Amino acid sequence: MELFVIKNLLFSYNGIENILNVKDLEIKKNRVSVFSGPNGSGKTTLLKILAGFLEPSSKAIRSFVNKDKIAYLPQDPYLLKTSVKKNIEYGLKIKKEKNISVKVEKAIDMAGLNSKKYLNRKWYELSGGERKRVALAARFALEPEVLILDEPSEGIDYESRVLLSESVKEACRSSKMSVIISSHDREWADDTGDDFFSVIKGKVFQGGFLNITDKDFLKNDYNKSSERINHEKVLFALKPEKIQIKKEKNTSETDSEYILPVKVVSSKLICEGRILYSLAYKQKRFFAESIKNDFLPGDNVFILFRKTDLIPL
Amino acid sequence: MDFLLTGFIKAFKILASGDPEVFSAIYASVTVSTCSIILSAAAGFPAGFALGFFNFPGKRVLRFISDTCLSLPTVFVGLVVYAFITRNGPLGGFGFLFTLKGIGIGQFILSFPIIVSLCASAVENADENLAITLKSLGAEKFKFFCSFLWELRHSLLTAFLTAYGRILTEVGVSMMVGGNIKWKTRTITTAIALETNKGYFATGIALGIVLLCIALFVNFSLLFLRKR
Repeated sequence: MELFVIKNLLFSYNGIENILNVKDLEIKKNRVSVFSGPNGSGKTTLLKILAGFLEPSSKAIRSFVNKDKIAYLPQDPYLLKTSVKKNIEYGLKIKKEKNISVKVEKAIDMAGLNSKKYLNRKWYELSGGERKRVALAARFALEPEVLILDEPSEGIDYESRVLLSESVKEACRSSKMSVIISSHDREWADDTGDDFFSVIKGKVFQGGFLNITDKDFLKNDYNKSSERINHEKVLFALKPEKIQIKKEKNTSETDSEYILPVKVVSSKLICEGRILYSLAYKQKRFFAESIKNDFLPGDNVFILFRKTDLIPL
Repeated sequence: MDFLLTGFIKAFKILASGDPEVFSAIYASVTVSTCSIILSAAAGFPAGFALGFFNFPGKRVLRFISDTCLSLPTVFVGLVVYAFITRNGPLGGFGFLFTLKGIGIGQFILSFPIIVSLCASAVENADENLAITLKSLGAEKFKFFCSFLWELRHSLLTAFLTAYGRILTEVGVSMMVGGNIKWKTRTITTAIALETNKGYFATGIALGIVLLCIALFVNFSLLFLRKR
């Protein structure tokens, strides 16, 4: 089931043309969708557009959720200048919810905070990580259909990151919540997400990016000039389902195929018995899908893909 | 130094004796300034919020005018209000000249731009995630406006006190529009000017002490808003 379908999304801001240029993107319901990418790549802009805080230049988004059912947590969340309890109650009171105290307790538990210890604390008595979790609890309390989190793991310690990851996964599982996250913390993102997207220079692709530096390949197959190959990074996007993983290098591949040595970073079971592998090639992380579960983290393997499946960026 | 010391001692005696003339001036000052500041705050905070929060054509011009009005000379405001409410002026029919209402109009003109400009600055400098947070938690329209301003209460309190201080201590408007009429429109500041000119230094000091006490009282009574 789709949550957002984006086709030909263009977004310009303050005279800067096409901060975002998304050709085709589908975000599914009841999944944790993670957008990774370097700083300034357009992740926050995309999330703000999905949350309805920014209007894109073109009407390119089909949303399958009511705007009132979307909760957004910014990168540096703002806490109201009052107690933790009142921060969490605020949204519930606006929506005239019943059993507010029960919902507050549940939300603060979901965010991994001890209600007895934290409920009566003031906003200035909290650390950065605690503030983030209180802000998250305020969103959990609203029981939104879609929870959008901008860099939730940034600036918090390892234990809090693990707790946060568990909370998000649990919210998605038990409350049928769809969660959309932006993060440049790949390890945390790999552990938390179900679907992975990469954002670079405003372009969004499912899976990851390959930084191919094979000069012959670039020259012959992509007609890149020698100067461009030497001075520019040549990045390609590659969809996870277009990649085959092999334990050994097989010499039978045709000219139209390409083989690269990579390292398995992690793996997780996704729907219909398929495994999503997080792989590393020259410090770039990307994903590949397989039905085999033969590969373990740390294994050196080979990936095989068709040259025509590479999307040059 | 004796001159000052004697002045202060006499001032306390005047206050302790409950001199009706002094208390009439105190009553006039407090009444008219408080009414003016309440009206200014009621109109100024929404106007300041709109000026700071929204983008619209002419916003910069309005901001420029409002900022310029921060330094309006009180005597000039008195003169303009006098021109409007004098018998031959456009608002002469209302009979506001030499009344507390007339002084109130002048004081409103003095305090309104202070509240608008300082409120707009506070809104512009607010945390950029405040609006996003309130909207994300479901606040809309009036609730959003109230919550936004409540989060800025420390800055807005400063705006309120600055404006109140300005109109409580002004002389120009009270003198020109009020006429410094005993038992009617004589305020603390016009009384200080008059009594000192007459040579009644102690009465001037007594009224000065009262002004300071009012400032302290207002600050103290709003202290709960400053609490974190």
